[in-house]
This record gives sequence, C-alpha cells and structure tokens, in this order.
Amino acid sequence: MKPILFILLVSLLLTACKKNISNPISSDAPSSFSQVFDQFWNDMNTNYVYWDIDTTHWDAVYTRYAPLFSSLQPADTADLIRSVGYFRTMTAGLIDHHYSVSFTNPVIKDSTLNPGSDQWKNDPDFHFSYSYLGSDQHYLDSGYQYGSDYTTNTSTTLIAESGTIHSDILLFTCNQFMLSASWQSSISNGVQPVLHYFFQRLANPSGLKAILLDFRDNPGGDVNDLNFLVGHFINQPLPIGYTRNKNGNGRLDYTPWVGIRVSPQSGVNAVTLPIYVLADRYSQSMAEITTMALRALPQCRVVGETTYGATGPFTENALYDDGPFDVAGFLSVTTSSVEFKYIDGKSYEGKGFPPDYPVAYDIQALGSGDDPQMDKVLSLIP
Amino acid sequence: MTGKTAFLALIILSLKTSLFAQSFLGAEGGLTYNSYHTNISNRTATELSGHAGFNFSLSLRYKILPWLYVIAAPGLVQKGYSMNRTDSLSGEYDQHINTYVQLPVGVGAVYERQRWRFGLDLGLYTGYWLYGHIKGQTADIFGTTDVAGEQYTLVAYNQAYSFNQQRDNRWEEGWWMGPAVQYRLTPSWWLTAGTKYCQSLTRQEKASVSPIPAYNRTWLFSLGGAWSLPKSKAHP
Repeated sequence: MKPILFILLVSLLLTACKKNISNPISSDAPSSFSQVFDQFWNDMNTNYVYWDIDTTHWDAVYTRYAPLFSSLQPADTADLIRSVGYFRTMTAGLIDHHYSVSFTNPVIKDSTLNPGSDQWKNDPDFHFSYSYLGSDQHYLDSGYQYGSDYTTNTSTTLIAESGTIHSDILLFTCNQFMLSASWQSSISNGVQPVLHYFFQRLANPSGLKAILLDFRDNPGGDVNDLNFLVGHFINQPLPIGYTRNKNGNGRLDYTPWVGIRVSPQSGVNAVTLPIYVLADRYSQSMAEITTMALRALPQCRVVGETTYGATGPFTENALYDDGPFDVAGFLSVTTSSVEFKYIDGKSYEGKGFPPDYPVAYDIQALGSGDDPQMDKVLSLIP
Repeated sequence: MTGKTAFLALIILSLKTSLFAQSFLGAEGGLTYNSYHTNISNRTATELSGHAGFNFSLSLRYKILPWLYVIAAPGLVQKGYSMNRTDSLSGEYDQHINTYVQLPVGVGAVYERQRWRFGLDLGLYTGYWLYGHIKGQTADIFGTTDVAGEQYTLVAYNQAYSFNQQRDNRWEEGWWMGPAVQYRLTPSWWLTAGTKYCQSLTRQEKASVSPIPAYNRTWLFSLGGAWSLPKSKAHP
C-alpha cells in the first residue's frame, strides 16, 4: 500500500512541474508604447552583437526607460516625438558604428538616429567629409582612367578612377564598394575599363615603384568586394581577423571566434611592391575593412586619419538570427550581424583603425590644391 | 554556496551512516539524451534538437524501511543540444556538449520478488558544469561561392567552450526520478539497470543576460553492478 502511495506522489510531482516558456520577441505590431519599448529592448538584447564590449548598461536602460515609455500614448503626436528623444538617449553610447534607427511610424518617419555619427560630430577633431576624387586627379598623370556605373545599383552611382602618379605609382580609388557587382554586370559600364586597367597594371607591374589605394570619403558597400579587390594582391589565403555571431537568445550567447581569410582571385600573382592606403574618418565599413585587410600584408602602410569604426558588416537578420531587426509598424534598426576582430586580436569597432602615418585633415591646404595626406605618401616612396 | 556545502555534508554523513546498516555500493554507466527546454520562436529557420552523451556514476543505496531506500549517486553526465538552421540555411549549426559532475540524492521504493528487485526512485540533484565543448558551422560573411553573392561559404569550429562568468550559471539544481531494476547474481553481487529523468529547475544562463530561460532536461539510461555490504549490528 505504501509503495502505491509513493508512486501516486511521484505522478503528482511530474504533472506539477510541466511549464511552457514564453518568448517576449514578437513580429506583431505593438499597440502600446510599453510594448514598443519591450520589443525594442528584447530585440536589442538578442540581436546586438557588441554586448561583450559595449559599455551601455542595458539592464539600467530598462529600469530607467520602461516607466517613461509606459507613460506615453501612441495616438499623441507630442508623445511620438518624445519617444524619438528617448530612443536617441538610450542608444547614444552604443559602439556599433553601423547602428541606425529609422522610424516607420508615419508621424515620425522623417526621424533617424545614428549614434556613431553623433559621437563623431561631438569629437573635438570633427570635420565635414571631403571628396578626394577631384584632388587625386590633380596628382594623376594625364591619360588616367575614370568611369562611373549608375546601372548596377540604380539608387547610387559608383565612380572609380585609376592611373599613375609620376609614372611609377599606380593609384586606384572609388567612391564606394560595389566593384565586384559592377565588374560582373552584363550591362557595359564605365567602371569596368577602370578595373580592367588597374588589374592589368597590377599583373604587369614593370616600371612601378608602389601601389596606392585611396579609400578616403568612402562609405563602404558590398562585402563581396573584399575577396574581389584584395584577392588581386595575393596568391594564397590571407588571414585578416576573426568574426563571431550570436548563437542564442541571450545577450552573451556567441559562437566561438572563427578565422577569416581573404581568398586570392584565380591566376593572380602576389603583389610584392610597397602598398599605401589613404584613409580618413569617412572611410567606413568595407572601406576600413579593406584597409585593414591590405594592412595585413607586410609591405602595406596606412596614411591619413583613423577610420570611422564601423568594422562589423551587416546582412539580413535571417542569416545569423542577429543583426538588423524591426519593431513592426514603428521602427527599423540597422546593426552589425557579426563582430569583427582584427588579426592583432583587437576590435576597432567604435574606435576606428589608426594609420601608420597620421596626417590631419587640412581644408585650407585642400582648398589651395594641395593634399597633405597624399603628399605624405609620395614622400614615403623614394 | 553555504547551502550547497551543508547539503554535501549531509550526503557524506548519510554515506557514513549507511556503513552501519544494509546498504549497496555500485557503479553504473550508460547513455544520456539531453534536450534544451527554451523558446526560440523568434529565430528564423532554426530548430532545437537534443543530443546523446554518456553518464557514469557510483551508487549507494541504504535501506531505511523494508520497502524504502535512501539513494545517492555521484557521477558525470553529458548534457548536449544543437541549434540547427533549416531550409536554405541548412548546414549552419551550433552544437554544445556540456559535462556536469552531478550528485543526485533521493529515495527509492522497491518491490522484491525472488532474485529480482523492482524500484521507483526520485529525488533532487545538484550539478556543476565542469566542461563544455562547442562545435558547428557558420556563414563567412565575406565569403560567397556564387556570382550573386548569396551562397555563403561555411566556416567550421570545434573547440572547448570558454566559460563566461557574466553569462554562465555553472551550478544546476533540479529533481530526478526513474525506475530501477536489480537482479541478484550471488548473495552479495547484483546486476543493476535504471533510467533517470533529470529536470533542471535552474537556468543555464544567468537571468540578467537572458529574459528567455533555458533548462536542461536529461534522460539517463545505465547498466552496472552493485555489492551488498554485510549487515551490521546497527540494523533495525
């Protein structure tokens, strides 16, 4: 009799311990500001990849802002505008320089947040961007190649130019990274002959003393360009760093770091000439990743300013179950999909990659037709 | 930690006491199957799956009533799980194999018939996450294999897990239960077989870093042998 009572007790225990786990992350449109905030906070907790190094205290953000959002009314225009201010202050310290918030709610759809840009604007060394395409043309020998492509991506025009300086320095520059797509485009475009010229000279470097790549004022672009462009400088895989992504819903759920290598393009000879890269505070994302990748070659040096600090690429959320996300009907967030660590073991996210030879931005010199950063490169080449 | 120390002291004391009464000392080993109980409904094209592993334990049974034993079974248990991507992302996966040193204690009700003894055991356990191994494949964001740049190269990893003090809750507590069968070979030696179901009541991640809890649920299947210690004068 007693063993039967024992078994009944066990059965009772089993039924009492069953429980389901709820998930606060939803794709449903929130109906209150509390729900907007909760979804945003939880999405950030899961999708943001820099929680291991970001100094923003995300739990303190919840404690401080949850009551503020709960007092807002979704139908009140003033409250909607007030919410933008709250989102701005709660994300102000994030180190992800790809991070931006665009609002999809019709009342505040003109508002955007970009913490990295705001941090740069508050930097004592802040300066506006400057397009060096024209400046570079002053240095190039006559007969340089210049071309544009507005067909591969109809929302933006890719410009590239290449030629020699003093007849023995091969220069290549572009205003963004979309080179691979433009090169492979079935529609003939002006960038293809520029790339063709540049790759031909790389493959036949007789008479050249150095290669110069100008990635200043370049906001980045397509990640496929890393293998496409840097792959023309190497004949064996080039280790450049490590990436990792989130592997669970927790704030600190990460895969291990995995090594990243640039793959050589087929049939390419390794470039042995000295390589110089010009970079500035407007060298962003792929522009700085390409700079860092080339700097992994022993004969490469970087001249100019520290880059912007947006080193972790992003893609659609589904690939890694992290990165960009939406709060339905209210806002859309762009943020890195992977955390990138350079070959030296350091993360330059939010800080930027420093040059070997720092040369400050000088608008007065540029206005008079002189480019001190370019002059520095030329002085380094005997 | 004070509670855990007291708990361990109680177990050691109970083991010492058991030497003065009818008791069994045994060793068992076998397979485990662990599943990770959480909610991943927010994750696209992802499924959780359980993982098989091993277990090994010593077992001590002390008879306190003709039909009731007190049980302790310290040992090692593997608790793994995988998060696998599906559909077009098939091939990406993340597999965790975690090894715990675990101390289940409890009671077992028995029914004896000739050489056979059938029982149902249940109790509580505490475990410590001793070692972790992580293996998987993830997409190389810089590496694509097609012209359109939409087919990513997969990068593999296979290494020891590095514990993160901020994230990992290395102590695990929960309850367990399961049937046990013993067959008497000789007056002193027994063959044993048993199944245990272990349900963790504590999260594997600290609550401060994840609002979505995750718990181990583990089945243990084991075979082994036991030695019946001689009855002492202290037996009631």
